[in-house]
Amino acid sequence: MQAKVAILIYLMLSFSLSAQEIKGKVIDTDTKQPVPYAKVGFPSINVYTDADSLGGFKFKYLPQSHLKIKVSAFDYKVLVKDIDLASDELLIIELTPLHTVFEEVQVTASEGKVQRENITSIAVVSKDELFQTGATTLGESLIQIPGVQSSSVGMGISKPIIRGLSGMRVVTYNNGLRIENQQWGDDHGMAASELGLGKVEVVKGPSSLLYGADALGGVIHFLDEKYIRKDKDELYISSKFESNSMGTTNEIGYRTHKGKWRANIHANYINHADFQLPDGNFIKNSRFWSTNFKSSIGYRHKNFQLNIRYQLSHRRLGIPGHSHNAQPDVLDFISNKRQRKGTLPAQYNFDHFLLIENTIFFNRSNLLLEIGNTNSDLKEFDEKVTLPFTHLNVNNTSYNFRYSYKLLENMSLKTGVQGMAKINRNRFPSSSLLIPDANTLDNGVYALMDYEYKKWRFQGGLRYDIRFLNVLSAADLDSSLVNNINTDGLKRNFQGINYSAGFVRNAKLTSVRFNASSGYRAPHLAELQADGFHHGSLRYEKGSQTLKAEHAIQFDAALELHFDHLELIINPYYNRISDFIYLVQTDEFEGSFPVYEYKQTDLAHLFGGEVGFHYHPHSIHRLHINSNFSVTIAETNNGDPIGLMPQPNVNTSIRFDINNNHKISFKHVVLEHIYHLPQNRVGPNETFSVDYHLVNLATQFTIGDLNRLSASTGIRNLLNTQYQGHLSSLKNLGLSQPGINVFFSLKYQIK
Amino acid sequence: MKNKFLLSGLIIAGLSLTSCKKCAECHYDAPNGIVEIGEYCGDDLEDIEQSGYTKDGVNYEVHCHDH
Repeated sequence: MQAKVAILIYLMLSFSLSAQEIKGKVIDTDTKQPVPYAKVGFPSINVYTDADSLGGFKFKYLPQSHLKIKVSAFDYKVLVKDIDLASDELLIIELTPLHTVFEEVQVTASEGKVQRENITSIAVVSKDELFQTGATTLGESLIQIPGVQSSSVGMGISKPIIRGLSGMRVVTYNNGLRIENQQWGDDHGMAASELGLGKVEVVKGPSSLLYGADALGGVIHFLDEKYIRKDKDELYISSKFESNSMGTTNEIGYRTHKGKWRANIHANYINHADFQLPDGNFIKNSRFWSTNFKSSIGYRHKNFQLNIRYQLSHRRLGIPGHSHNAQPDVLDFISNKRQRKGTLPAQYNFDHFLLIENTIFFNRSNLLLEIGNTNSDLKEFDEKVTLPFTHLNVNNTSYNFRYSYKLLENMSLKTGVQGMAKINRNRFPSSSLLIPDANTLDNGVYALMDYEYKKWRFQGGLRYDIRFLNVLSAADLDSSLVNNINTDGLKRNFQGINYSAGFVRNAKLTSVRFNASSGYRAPHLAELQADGFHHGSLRYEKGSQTLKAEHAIQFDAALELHFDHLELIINPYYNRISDFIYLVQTDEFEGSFPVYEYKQTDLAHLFGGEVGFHYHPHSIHRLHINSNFSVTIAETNNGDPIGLMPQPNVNTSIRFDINNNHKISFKHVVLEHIYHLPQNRVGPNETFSVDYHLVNLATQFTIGDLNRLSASTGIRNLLNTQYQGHLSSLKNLGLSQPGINVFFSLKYQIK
Repeated sequence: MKNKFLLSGLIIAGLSLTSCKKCAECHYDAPNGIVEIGEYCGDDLEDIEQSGYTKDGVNYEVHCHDH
């Protein structure tokens, strides 16, 4: 056996040929003249360089494989194409002059293509774009992405919603690591931080093929900031202040790249007092703090690449909207005095995420081996200081082995196995269990074929998944602990056969895309076993052990028009979910809490889409106008509206690039307008929501000749609008979201 | 230099060894409404939150809040 392993390792390493230098030149496709100072890189291995004044560039120790190269230069169209690095020939890269460049072209992690070449509906947004108008949290910033909204509990807790679906139907990935963090609870926020973030990729619609079970609404994939270029290092500190909550964010970061090794290390501390309402009062206990640490260490040499990523987060989140009164009044939840000191109820979250990612490159293929572990610990303190109301821990160990093979120049295959072992446990002492202890084992196998023919690209794939769920009986526990759950044990298997098929046709002026994809989601422990209060979400919930798995099929089409100064996109979709599980508010009340039941409808129809444009007028070259409209309509087979759907929204931003060359150099000014339309399609006993407008204004600038000191300032909710988001838990209490918020941030590049 | 190390060590040891005694105002829900029972700290706080407050032979669950 040992001999076989040794032979296998030898065969793998034998592909690593001797050190080779890749040289190339970037030229203009029309004039054949050199294009100076182009940015040249390989996104999949995170290696970049700048061309010199004569367009020349070189790389050392690259894998001798087929890799995607990305080349960009000012006033040229960004080029992304496959090249064979095993060839000794000088690489000649021809760039096409372009009158206008709309935005930076992003290569998606999921398909390895530029956005318009993707077959599935994927949005990629950089951290800079997400935070250009000073969003307080990552969750709040995500609403800039068409088709993405968020629900919230105060300012500190928010959850993403993709095309109307959230919670267990949206899967979060962090650099290829699946995050499990009690996301089933409405008051359990997203376990992601903007710290060290590079970009966010959102896959809209069922995405089981590459991401496994549960992703019926889609996937949010957070990708770390790139490693710095070779032989460079960077050290910075930054600080942000927000007036509304007297909030501060202080951060330090270091990036280095020496030889074969590279590393990114970041840490931050965030602290917000109670937020202020438009009328000047404060929401009691909306205060929160968090501290985060993130590190990535990478090693790359010839045909081998290793990344070890570790993230630690500790958060204390106040839960607003809490009262001891049996019939609470709005005045119970507000105060005329702002406070910061921690009080109850509150959540303490402690998360560890570890990912070990190996890639071995062969000439026409590569093998990705990922092993990860996430541990998420959640304590909810309700009315006792030393004894948590509930204490939940979920430990998830996941693997993903994927082999990508280039069969022909225009045909490739991805195949792999993926799975996870999840252990849900209650910790003691605590007062109550919200979900029982359980073990879950997932395994899946998949294959995905990709074929390109002239302007067409086709993709099709199949996947099989099986989940074993073992809910442990809680009947032996003290009855006072289990009065919020069904104590019966349960053993069930869930299976899913899923597919994805589609095409894209890219011409100079138009891109047409169509995709059909499926997904499945097994009911969660809370849906199966809940039977009691959940103070965080301010309701009493009842589950059912007989719930079946949900299966979804989405048809997604898109038409994009690309003119010189205008881009248009129309992206309708239809998501058909069988055995859809949803919460229905009943007529009953338990104390002051409304009773909600998990029910299942034979069919749910979710349809809608995103429509947007980007206008960049010829006469005012510095001006960019972006606008998009997103809507989801959800109903049962009988045509009854399904509740808890976000309001349709129109997001418009007007950005004016300045880039003046003075001591204080302004980058741009952005005016953003978000219009949330009324939500009149509501579930039984759910209340309507009225429309509202939000206006944000921001600018970014650098100070000094070396641009070491950069700053950003602006005003969020400039009109001090009083508004209640449809999916804000504070809406049921008649409370508004935050009022006007002035922010100012500084970043100093020490090195 | 030696003094600096010594001072740093003392500060770290001081911060590590200084205990932070948690205190909270507590109450219980009696049939006639909320009854405040005053401030409890440290082990007393932990005890009363776990075992409750007994009055006239009746044991009441105690709720406490930071202040």
